Amino acid sequence: MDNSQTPYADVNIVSARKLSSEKQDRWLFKDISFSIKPGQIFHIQGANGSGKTTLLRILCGLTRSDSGQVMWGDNPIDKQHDQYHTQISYVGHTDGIKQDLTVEENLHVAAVLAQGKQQNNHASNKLANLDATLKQVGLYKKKLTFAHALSAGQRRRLALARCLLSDTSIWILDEPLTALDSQGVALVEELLETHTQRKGIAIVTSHQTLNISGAHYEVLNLS
Amino acid sequence: MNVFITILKRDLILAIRHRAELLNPMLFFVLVIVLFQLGLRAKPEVLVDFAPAIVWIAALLSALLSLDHMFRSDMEDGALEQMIISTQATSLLVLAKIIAHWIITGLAVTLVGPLLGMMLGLSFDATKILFLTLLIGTPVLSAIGSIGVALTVGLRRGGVILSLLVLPLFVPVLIFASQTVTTYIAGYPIAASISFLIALLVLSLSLAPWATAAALRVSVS
Repeated sequence: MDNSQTPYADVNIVSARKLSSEKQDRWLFKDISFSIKPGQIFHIQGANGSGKTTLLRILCGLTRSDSGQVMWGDNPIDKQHDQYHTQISYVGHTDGIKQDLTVEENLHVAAVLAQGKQQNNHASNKLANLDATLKQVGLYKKKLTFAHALSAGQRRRLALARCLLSDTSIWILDEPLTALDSQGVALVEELLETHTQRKGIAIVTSHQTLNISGAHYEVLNLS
Repeated sequence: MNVFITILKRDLILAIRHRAELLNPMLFFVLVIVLFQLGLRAKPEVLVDFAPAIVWIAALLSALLSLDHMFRSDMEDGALEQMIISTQATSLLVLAKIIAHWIITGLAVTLVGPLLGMMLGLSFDATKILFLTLLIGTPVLSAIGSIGVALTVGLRRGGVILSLLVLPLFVPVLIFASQTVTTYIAGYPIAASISFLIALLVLSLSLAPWATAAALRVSVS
């Protein structure tokens, strides 16, 4: 399996330099700077509407900030989009799951889209690993079920399976614990623990606290 | 190439599972032509003069009707974001979606159009030329349309703007395609207009994916 215990091949510091974002004449956040080291979990907290999702999208390179830069290593991500995108997995509010495809079909598309991601020589392995990944997130028995028949928690698990499959070193997760049962929460914590042990970076927004042993944990409160 | 085929297959599977979406543009195309015939009640020889334009206007409107679906659902469920942050070239994914859109709507129009042309009184030979223009011209509609959809997909009600953006760009295809058939019926050579249509096809298929990918990045942000 390619998502084993071995450290990620290409890890680097992700940092924000004086990021600001404005929405409808209101500053969501202004001049925030931080630095996230490999093996760290960065927990973004804040009230509803405080800009958590916007910050995550800026860190993904999906949205532009009104000022400031996101750096990966020594260079801004704008200058190394393609390279940076090989390293990130993003699970957003909208989870990118097609309702009319089965669990397996959804994951197959995700696997093919992830083929250029880190350790792309394992691309064919990834397709073979669909079953193993589905077992890991507890969806193997639902393999042939249409996504619209899944519960909200199961959809969340399917979205998380994408991170495992792409084997990227930076996970950006928007409310990953929403709708998950206690087993699901434990699964996310276990995945994050393994991820950080492999020197991966996790940037997470959540209203709940995460119990992850051994990980370097940092909290940013946008409120 | 693998990713191109995967996205193409994915879009076709989704279209088959959403039959209404698949049939709607086709039904619209057929109905518009039938209504034209009923409404005009013209002499057969007059109808023949109008036939190529009628078929092409119907093809154009049915393409416009189905365009919005190209990226709308992917935008709403977040699949588009995943495509953009994947390391695969967005333009290649867009090209797969353009081809899928053409297979779902344009191909059906290309196959049924000539039959409806015959119903309007076109001769068998003229029908063959109509088929040829539809075969070359309908992918151009999908390709040019994709740019308009990508620009408006982030807007809540982008429908009107989409029509305003895209219809003027469809006009050259309409003019050259219907002109080709009428020129053929009049007995003149059509090689030049066919070549022009092919040029439009090559140009739009090679440039539209890049423009669309850039527009999608803006819309998603």
